[in-house]
Amino acid sequence: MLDNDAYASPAPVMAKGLSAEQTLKSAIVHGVLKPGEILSEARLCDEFAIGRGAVRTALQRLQSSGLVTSAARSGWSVTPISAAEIREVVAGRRALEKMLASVPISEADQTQIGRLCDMYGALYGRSDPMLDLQATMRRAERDLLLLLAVRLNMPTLSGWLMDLWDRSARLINFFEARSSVKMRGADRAASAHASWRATAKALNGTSPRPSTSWKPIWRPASWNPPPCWMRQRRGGAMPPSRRLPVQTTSPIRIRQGRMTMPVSRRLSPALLMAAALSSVAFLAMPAAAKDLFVVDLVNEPSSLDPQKQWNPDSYYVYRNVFDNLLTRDNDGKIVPQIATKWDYKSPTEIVFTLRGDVKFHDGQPLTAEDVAFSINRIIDPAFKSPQFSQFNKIKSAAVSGENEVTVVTDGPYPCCSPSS
Amino acid sequence: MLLAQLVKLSVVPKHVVEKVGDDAFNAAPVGSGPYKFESWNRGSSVTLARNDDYWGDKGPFPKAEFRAVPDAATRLADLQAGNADLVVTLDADQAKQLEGADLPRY
Repeated sequence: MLDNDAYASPAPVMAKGLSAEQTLKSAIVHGVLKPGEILSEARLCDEFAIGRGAVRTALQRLQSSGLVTSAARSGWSVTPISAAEIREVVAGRRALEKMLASVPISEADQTQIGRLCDMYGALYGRSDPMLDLQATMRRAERDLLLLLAVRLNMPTLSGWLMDLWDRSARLINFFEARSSVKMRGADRAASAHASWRATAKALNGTSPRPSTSWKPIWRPASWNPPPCWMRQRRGGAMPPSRRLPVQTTSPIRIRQGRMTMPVSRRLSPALLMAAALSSVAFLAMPAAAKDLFVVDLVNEPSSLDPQKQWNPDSYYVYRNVFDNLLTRDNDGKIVPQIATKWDYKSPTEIVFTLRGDVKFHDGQPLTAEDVAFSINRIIDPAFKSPQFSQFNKIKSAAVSGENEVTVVTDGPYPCCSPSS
Repeated sequence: MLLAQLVKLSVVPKHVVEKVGDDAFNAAPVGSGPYKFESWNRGSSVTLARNDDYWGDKGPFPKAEFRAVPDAATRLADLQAGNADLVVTLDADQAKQLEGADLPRY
């Protein structure tokens, strides 16, 4: 959401140690691994289905983050909750978060900040017992802080900040789990909006909307960043590595390419799941007899132009709106969609024969012109498609007959592409 | 191989893209798929409506709404409360909470 580059590929390859770190971190932050709990490497390997080396690396990283401590002879343990821990977190945040005030913010960041503020503002003051709005607000706030931290452009310092936010989240989770009192966030929407407007004014010389009072958004006194999977951290790592088995396809297209294979624990087969990328989708209701099918994505799609963006949340939506030239069946085999067949005319030329009965939503027929246009659009460097590198072996696409398109490649296409 | 790449190629309508431009196309995409774009409520949700003239297997739902719900706990709660029919990206612990839950088999 914050760093679009992290979404340039829908399935970022993740170092094993990193995913183990994310998994363990989440377990600690959410109190699954309790404060003070002894962490046996062997048990963690087993429990989280990760290798010994990865576990050790992860524990070392978490030790430097402050979530794990190690002592001679007793090994690793989760850092206990103590006055010293709280003091350090608060003091650290007081000292470091001030720096976020002077972060330069681009126009794109402003838009992003505006969106997060809108989301926060929409939730602030609402109380819906059915929904855990507080958690969503904290996530929005965390994203906001994260955006600023990334723009600090000081990786070590922003790393410290992120560690402190994780530790704060752990403290909050710990205390909230033991009491009915929930930590109430400040009305950051108003203050953040004010800062956003002030920045916009500074950059453009105009104020987008009448400015309200200026208050800093980092206000350390109310430390309450939400627990979250740090997707953006250190190279766009995706959520946890404990993937779940794939059961079937959903009535809404939600898979991309080949399914990721399940690891570790199996869930009850009664549960219907569709895996998408490294994440898992859960389907609750029977497909029939529903007028409105509601899907909870993580973020808003960053784009609905299928050639302009490529991230899971965009994909889930636009894949239902568009047809692809080819697709895969449930076994991962490439099968026709708009193209009905394809023949190699030479090692560098493939001729695609297209369906003649497809209409766009505006009623116009889908023709060979549209297919050639779509390919040429995505391989045009000026168009700057995030998928460009996936298609840059294609030299050109041209209409070669009614319902026929010929694609010319730059030399025989390398076989066994890792993303195939 | 090339075919594996072209699996990812969505076909866009030349006449629309050229007429309205890339930005307007992104704001109101026109495709040929089983659902039509209906509305995009910025920051919160996108609504699609079934394309009743679809050439292939038609979609099962008259409408589908995709909401931005950044927090995993909220997504889980939505699913459990029936506010959402499908949620993405739950972690294994949350998945365990659904295990044995009285969710209809599909």
